[in-house]
Amino acid sequence: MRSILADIVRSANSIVQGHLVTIREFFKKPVTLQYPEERWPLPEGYRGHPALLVEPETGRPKCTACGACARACPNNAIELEGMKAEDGRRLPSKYRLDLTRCLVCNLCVEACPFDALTMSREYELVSYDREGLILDLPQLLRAGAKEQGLTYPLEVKAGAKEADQA
Amino acid sequence: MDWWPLVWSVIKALLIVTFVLANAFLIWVERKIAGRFQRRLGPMRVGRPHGWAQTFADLIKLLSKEDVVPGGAEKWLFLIAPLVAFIPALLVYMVIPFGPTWVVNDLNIGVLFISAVTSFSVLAFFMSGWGSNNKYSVLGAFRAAAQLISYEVPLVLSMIAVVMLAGSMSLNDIVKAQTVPYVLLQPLGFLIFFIAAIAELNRTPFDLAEAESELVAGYNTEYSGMRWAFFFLAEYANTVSASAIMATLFFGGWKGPLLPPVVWFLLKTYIFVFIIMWIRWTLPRVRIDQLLNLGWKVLLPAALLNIAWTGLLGLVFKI
Repeated sequence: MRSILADIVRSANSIVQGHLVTIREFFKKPVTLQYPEERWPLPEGYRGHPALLVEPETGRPKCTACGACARACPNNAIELEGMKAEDGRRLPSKYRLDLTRCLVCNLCVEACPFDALTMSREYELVSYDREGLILDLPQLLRAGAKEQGLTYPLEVKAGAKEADQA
Repeated sequence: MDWWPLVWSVIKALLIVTFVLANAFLIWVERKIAGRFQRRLGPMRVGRPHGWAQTFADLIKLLSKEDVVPGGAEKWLFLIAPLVAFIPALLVYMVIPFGPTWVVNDLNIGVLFISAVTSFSVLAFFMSGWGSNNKYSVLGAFRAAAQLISYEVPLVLSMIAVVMLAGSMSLNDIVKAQTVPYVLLQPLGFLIFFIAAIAELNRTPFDLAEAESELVAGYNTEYSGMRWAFFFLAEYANTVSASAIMATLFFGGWKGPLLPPVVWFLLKTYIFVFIIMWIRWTLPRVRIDQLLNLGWKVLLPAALLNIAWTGLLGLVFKI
């Protein structure tokens, strides 16, 4: 008899305890983040795909199409071609980054002798098809300019224009 | 011929149907409450603020769904089972006093009427389970039958104690007889009624009939679209009516200071609705043997004890 009563008291107590737990949670602030409208701040060291930096003065890419990044890439994700601008400076005419292959290793950025590459902080990379995951020159310049706090294209200068057309 | 009584009863019926359908917003409320208990936000996208139009979105979705009848089903049983579930849920509101005069029909056997009408839900569960030609459905229906019959007994016995105190079966008379809320005289009776009512409602922790982790969805596995919605609506209508009956029998119904009676009644009712949801999102489901043991070995003797206690109260204190 005593053990039955003890059982009843114990289980009643556990039920009450459980309800206290849930009601306490009820009055706390929900932890949900309403994603597209609200976002977590990215960690300082966050690394997205590589992006091409622009020269703030001219609006042209810093890249000289030397190909060091393409050679450094372990997955051959980078493909590029160069051209000569009117003032004799070499610029990329074509620059393709294949995100399906890129492993975000940072080796291209380390290899770049002109500091023309940086790792972006982009993480929304979804696409309806694989073509959408191959980034071209304007896309990479846009991402790079964003890292520099600029919006690409900048005030349109000759070189940037040519690069854009390519 | 005097048409007024007929018109008046049609108006009353429409009001009750409106009230029951308006309780569909509880689907949204429950999802919000469930979210809060788990520190989520619940539905937020349909309607600003806080996704209030979620129920309408659900309704439109359900209305536009195909009405599927599974092969080999007992067609008639399958098709009318949702209505058999929904109509008794509606009928219960007939005798519930929302205020001193706000009652559709103050039957002098109100308590009996409630226990008679709510027993119909077993029939609906069994019809849907048997008619579906699905093993999960029929298992759910077996469980529902075992469970509802077991819990009917303590439920009715705890109501009898209230009737003994009030000396009437009319719910309005019971409210008027409560100089103090009967929960103070009948704490055990209230507890029994509360547990048995949750079991009758088929809500967690007693939702064995639709135990989704083992029976897919129990008796309503094969239902979709509006037929499923009727089961769903019946569940919410029953939740509100069970809460209303608890408020009426044990907490003085529409009685209360300052505020108008109907406000008191709705306040008490929805507090119980909240508590039932609170329990749902706290306790896990019991096993079938635990459920039946609790019903027959604990609640039934306790209910008989409560009747004895009530008789003693009447004898000694002449209440």
